[in-house]
Amino acid sequence: MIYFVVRRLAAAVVTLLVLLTLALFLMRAAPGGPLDRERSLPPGIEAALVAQYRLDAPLWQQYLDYLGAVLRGDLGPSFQYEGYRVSELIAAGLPVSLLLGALALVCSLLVGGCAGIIAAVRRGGVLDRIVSVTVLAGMSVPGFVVAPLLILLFALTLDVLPAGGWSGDARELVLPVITLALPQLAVVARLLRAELIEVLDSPHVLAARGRGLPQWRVLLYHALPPALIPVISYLGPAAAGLVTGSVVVEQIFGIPGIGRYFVQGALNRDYTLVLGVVLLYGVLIVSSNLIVDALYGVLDPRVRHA
Amino acid sequence: MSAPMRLGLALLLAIVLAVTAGPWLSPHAPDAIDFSAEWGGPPTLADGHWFGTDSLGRDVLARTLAGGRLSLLLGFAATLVSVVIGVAYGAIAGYVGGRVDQWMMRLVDVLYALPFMFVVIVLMVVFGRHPLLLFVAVGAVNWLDMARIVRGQTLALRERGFVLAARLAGAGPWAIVRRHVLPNLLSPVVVCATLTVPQAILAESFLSFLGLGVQEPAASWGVLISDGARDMELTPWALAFPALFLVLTLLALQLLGEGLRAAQARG
Repeated sequence: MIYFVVRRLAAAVVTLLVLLTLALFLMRAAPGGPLDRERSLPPGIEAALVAQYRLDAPLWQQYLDYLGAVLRGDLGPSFQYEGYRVSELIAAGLPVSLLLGALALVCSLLVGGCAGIIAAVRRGGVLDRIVSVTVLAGMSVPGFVVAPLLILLFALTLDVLPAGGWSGDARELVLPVITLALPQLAVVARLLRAELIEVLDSPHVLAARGRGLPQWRVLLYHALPPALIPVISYLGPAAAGLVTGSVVVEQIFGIPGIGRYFVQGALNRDYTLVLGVVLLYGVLIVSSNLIVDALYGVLDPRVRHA
Repeated sequence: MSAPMRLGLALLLAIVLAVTAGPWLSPHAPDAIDFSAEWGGPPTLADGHWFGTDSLGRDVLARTLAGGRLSLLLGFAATLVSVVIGVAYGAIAGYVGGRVDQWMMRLVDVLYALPFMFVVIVLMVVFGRHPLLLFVAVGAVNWLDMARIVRGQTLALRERGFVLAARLAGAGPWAIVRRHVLPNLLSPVVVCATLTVPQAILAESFLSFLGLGVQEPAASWGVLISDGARDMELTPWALAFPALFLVLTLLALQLLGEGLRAAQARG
């Protein structure tokens, strides 16, 4: 067990180091830098800026400096938002993005889970067909198509929900969360349906039925727990999907989360901001993978001893 | 062939055909402004603007088909890149085996956990938005699954009798991989590639939608959807048609790929 944990932790650290190194050297290999403007700066000012951002140090020195700063939680100054440090921008945006992501995750687990259960129990029936078609649609309609359509329908035509913004009105959350949850929901429903169908045919479920337990008890206490394992192991990729989705969703709905900073930073070549956000995303994804691995070990003893 | 798979294939063929025949299907050029037509006019059969015009007076049908040409081309090109990298990497790891295989696959595990979409974005930011770079980058992101599948297959193939026979006949490792391993990899590679194409198209559209991919005046579906979403109150058809085509393409490839995979699993 300890070996398992240490190995996973080591892999996570290596992954983050690779990500950081890759991103940093890519940026430094760039033709043209963040100080390029429409008009060239006076040489004195440019030299001062170069010194301030320490672009004049040798590459390995910059790399080590950045590595050290990151470990202390400092991601450097933003190029685009003058006077702000990247860490401050992220601290402002992260709670927003996390709220959005958490809501979407809960929605996709609850709705997707229910849909999967219904489809598995009513296998081959009308409800199963409906779920299957919806799942297929959810998997092939990307978020940047869903979001405008939702806005068009609910905000512009029916006028029941706001088209975007972030003023503290809870109704503003509805459309972004739906957009974000839809693809994950589809995958959860599909995974759970497939697994549950298999589990429902297994001997221990038959035994529970044979003892005369009511249908819902068999389903909830005997069939569901083992069927949840693939869903749990999907949570890692789901976190990655939510992160990617949030970039589009925040952009479309005008939500001031890190995804929006990221796109703005990318469009304006704000190197430090882009790098900081990529690192943060890396940490989020790697740590959610770690949590999933741990959960997996708890649920399935075979994994622990492998 | 199962019914969903047949549907996917038919849909895909229809779209590829329409997109290829684009210049002959629509009398208008994709980036030409039609001064005689109503700007932002709704779909009509009268003047040949079957899908309407966008807010700049350009024909939506012609733009959708031209955008599809670019999106499909980039999707297939990116998949080709991922097949080349994935097959080479997987075949080497699987055939050489041992410590080399272990390290190569550990690297794949590490790369798996990277938010690769964002590395591509960094790449686009740093090196500018060149279309060549775009599909190489998207392809370079999607080779990991391919490498894993190919490696697994190669490991199994290596132990087969005909490989031993070839080795006894004096064939070198390179010849064995090329003549005996690669041909046997064809079907899993085709299945995996079919499922990679929609991912590549999706990645390209995602980047283009954010303004980080294909640049005007060239337009892929992602660009068209982005433009359409901006003007959707006035010209919803400029959003609806590119979106519909993109979704149908993704759906078709998904159906086809999963059908192929299921057929392969049945043996």
